[in-house]
Amino acid sequence: MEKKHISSRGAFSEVEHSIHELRNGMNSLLMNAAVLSSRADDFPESLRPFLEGISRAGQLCSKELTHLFALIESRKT
Amino acid sequence: MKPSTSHATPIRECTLLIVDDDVGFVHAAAEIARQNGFEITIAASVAQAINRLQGARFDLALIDLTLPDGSGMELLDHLDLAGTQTVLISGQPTLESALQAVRLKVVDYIVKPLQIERYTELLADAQRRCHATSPAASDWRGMVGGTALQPVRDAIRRVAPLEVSILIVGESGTGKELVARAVHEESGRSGALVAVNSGAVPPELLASQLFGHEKGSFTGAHSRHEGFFEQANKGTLFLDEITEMPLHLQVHLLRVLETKTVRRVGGQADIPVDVRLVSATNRLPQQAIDEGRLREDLFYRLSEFPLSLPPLRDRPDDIAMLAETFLARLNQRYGTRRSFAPTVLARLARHRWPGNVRELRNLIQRAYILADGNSIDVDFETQHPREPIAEDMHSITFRIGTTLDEVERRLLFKTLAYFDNNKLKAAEALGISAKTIYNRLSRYQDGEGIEPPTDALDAGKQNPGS
Repeated sequence: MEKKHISSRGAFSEVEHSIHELRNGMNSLLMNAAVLSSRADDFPESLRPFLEGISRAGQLCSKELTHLFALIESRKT
Repeated sequence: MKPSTSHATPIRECTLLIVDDDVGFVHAAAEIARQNGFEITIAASVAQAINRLQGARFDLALIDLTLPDGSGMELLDHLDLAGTQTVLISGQPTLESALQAVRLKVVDYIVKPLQIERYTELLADAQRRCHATSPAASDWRGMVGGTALQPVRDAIRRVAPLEVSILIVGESGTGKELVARAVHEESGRSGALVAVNSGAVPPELLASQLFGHEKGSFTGAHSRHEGFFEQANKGTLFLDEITEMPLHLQVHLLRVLETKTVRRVGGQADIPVDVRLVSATNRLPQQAIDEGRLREDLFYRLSEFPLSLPPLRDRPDDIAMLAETFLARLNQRYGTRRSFAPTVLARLARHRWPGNVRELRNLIQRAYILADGNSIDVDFETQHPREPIAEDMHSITFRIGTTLDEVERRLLFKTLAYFDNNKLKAAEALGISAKTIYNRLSRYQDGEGIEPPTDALDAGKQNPGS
């Protein structure tokens, strides 16, 4: 998902750019998952576990993303 | 007669601006906000956003920092930051942008991904502010509240012009005197409103205060005195804490209400009075009757129209409205432009408010006084944790974290005050000996304890009769 221009402050490193795009992707994923969850009643009973699965996986990815970013920042110093 | 709805004003729709070029995110975020009753405006670039901001006002603005034609930060100059809860969202959590946001007093700064819980919290916070400033946030006769208070207002308007007695039942701090005042003002009665706290007047004085006395009728009666009933002639008499009135006086009160005449203490003549009676209690009336605190025949006479006031915890939507109103009054009085820091309203909404509106008002006042700048924060932990959070004649509520010593000291003085400083009765009620009470009082007076509560000072004094 190539989305935005690079900051005028200078080029990102490749890693930082990837993290940025990952954050944008997660942002969209979590919000879309939330919309689906809010309409869970509109889905057949058999599909509802998958909705929950998307939300759960999104939360996990979000947590790991934060952890990954912290690791990268710690390596810098 | 149909319930009056003519005074109700529809609540305006709250508005949200989303500035982001990620279509997938924008549509989803807009959908969630729409489900929460927001009107949405979307912009995908700085230029588009500036265009959308012309002449518009938003309750909440969600702005991505990295936009195709520049930084979302550029939009801050175009926003009314005082009226718009502004949230910057960034996928690049650099220290510089965070610091700049803080310097610009931006409401909030969030690193992507935006968690749904945080998003719904932001929407709820904006909604509270929005409703707090909407026309429905009426300050009708000092009674601030939304839909939860509307039945009370409607009832007051309907009953005020009628010649019926009103009994207001509600917890301490719910605004019973405000209701009595509203009833009087809406009644069109030409006389005065006279408010009396039946629990605060010493029982031996209450009769002469209520019904008046003739000169020389008792020691100290140096002149004739018109009682509260006569003072409220053609007006309204508000008797608060009616269940604290001694039973023998309740008999007199019943007689006054039945005959519409009052006889002064030591007097012979029955003086006609035209008084509208509004009484109030924070006890459950039936329980007060069962406990022998309230005569049943008087209860029926007082409660021709019962009116129940909801506690603040049952009207959570009004908390932000009330907080904003109290702050606006302070700003107006002192010529300031202070506002609440982010998340304050959300934190206020989560509190239980055992002291009801009075507790909220006191908290806002303290936070206003203690604020260093224009941003007001509220810290429940440091808001005089030693002080009881609700107190009236016969009950006291403590905050978690109050020391046992402090609870003991407060409870002792409160109980003494309740039993008119009769130490034997207080000791019996507390389940301790009178000697223990004397020892405690002696300890406090020696300075080991702290000063007694101001309203209990009299109770702590040595009373020859006790």
